Amino acid sequence: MGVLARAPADRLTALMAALGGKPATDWLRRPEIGAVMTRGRAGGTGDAFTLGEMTVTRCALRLKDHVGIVGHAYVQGRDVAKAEAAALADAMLQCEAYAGSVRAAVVEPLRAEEAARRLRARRKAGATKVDFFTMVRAEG
Amino acid sequence: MAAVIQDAAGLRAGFGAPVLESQACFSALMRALAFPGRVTQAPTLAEPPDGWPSALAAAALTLLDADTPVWLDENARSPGAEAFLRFHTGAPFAAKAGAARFAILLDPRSADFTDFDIGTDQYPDRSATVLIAVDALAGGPRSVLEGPGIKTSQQIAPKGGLSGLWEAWPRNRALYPLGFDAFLFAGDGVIGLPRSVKRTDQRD
Repeated sequence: MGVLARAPADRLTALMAALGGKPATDWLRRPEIGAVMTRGRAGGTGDAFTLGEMTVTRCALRLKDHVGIVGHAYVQGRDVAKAEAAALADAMLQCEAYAGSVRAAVVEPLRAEEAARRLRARRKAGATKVDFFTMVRAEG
Repeated sequence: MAAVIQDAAGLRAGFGAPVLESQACFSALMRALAFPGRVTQAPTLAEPPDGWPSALAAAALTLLDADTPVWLDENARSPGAEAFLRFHTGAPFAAKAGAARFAILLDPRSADFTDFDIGTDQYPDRSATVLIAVDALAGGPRSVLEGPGIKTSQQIAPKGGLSGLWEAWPRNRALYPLGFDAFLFAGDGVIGLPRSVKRTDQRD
């Protein structure tokens, strides 16, 4: 779900559109746009504080032919198509008949792209790193 | 995670157009309270939880939210109904009838109507609203209603084990401005019973 939510909207919708044999669905909650209050903790362990509001699009759907399977999506921003695609992928991943193909054709490529994006960002940041080690040694 | 999926088994859909339909339903409920005893139509809900009148489920989706603890009677309580309310409204479930802002009764026979929250002198509006499913809104024992919203008198004849409610009603009315308000539901129809209404048996 995290991979789906973080993926760029156009990539996720394109990969889902390319996927054949998708199941029929009913809406439980049509896509709606709202704001959620995000909370954080300093350093991950400190007191909770309010970070700010974030625009979120959410929706939920169920598969017509598989009773009990519900796909949920909460994605950042106002992109309704992305939320729809993510909810459908979430539902299909819970269903043995589709899970394999969704994982191979959608989740894994997105995961690899995300890892590459992060690596690029880390390299960029790493190139600007200043090493203060010599200053510490100079004092001692 | 497994428990979540279990609860979602056969999760029922809510309103197709949540904003417009819940507004229409709210307006229907207001009309029902403004004209006590008059049968009002609520928007139809395609798939209410098992055993729930469509209008009762529609009213629950309209009225409940995360700030309104809800209490379900034994008959209304089921994994399907609880999942339905949790998903669509986010309302917390009250452990006791007295702690609930809304109570949902599928069988009014088993209810103790002295349990419900009647509000406080400072805030009489912070009282319970009791949503009751009945078998039919007509064809039962006849009652006469009088009071605000009724020009002379209004006859109702809901069917379905309301003797306990009628027994508790004079006390509820005597508490005014405190007391609970009630709605009766069957199919798409709803009858509002504000705490201000006076009820007597129909004499032939």
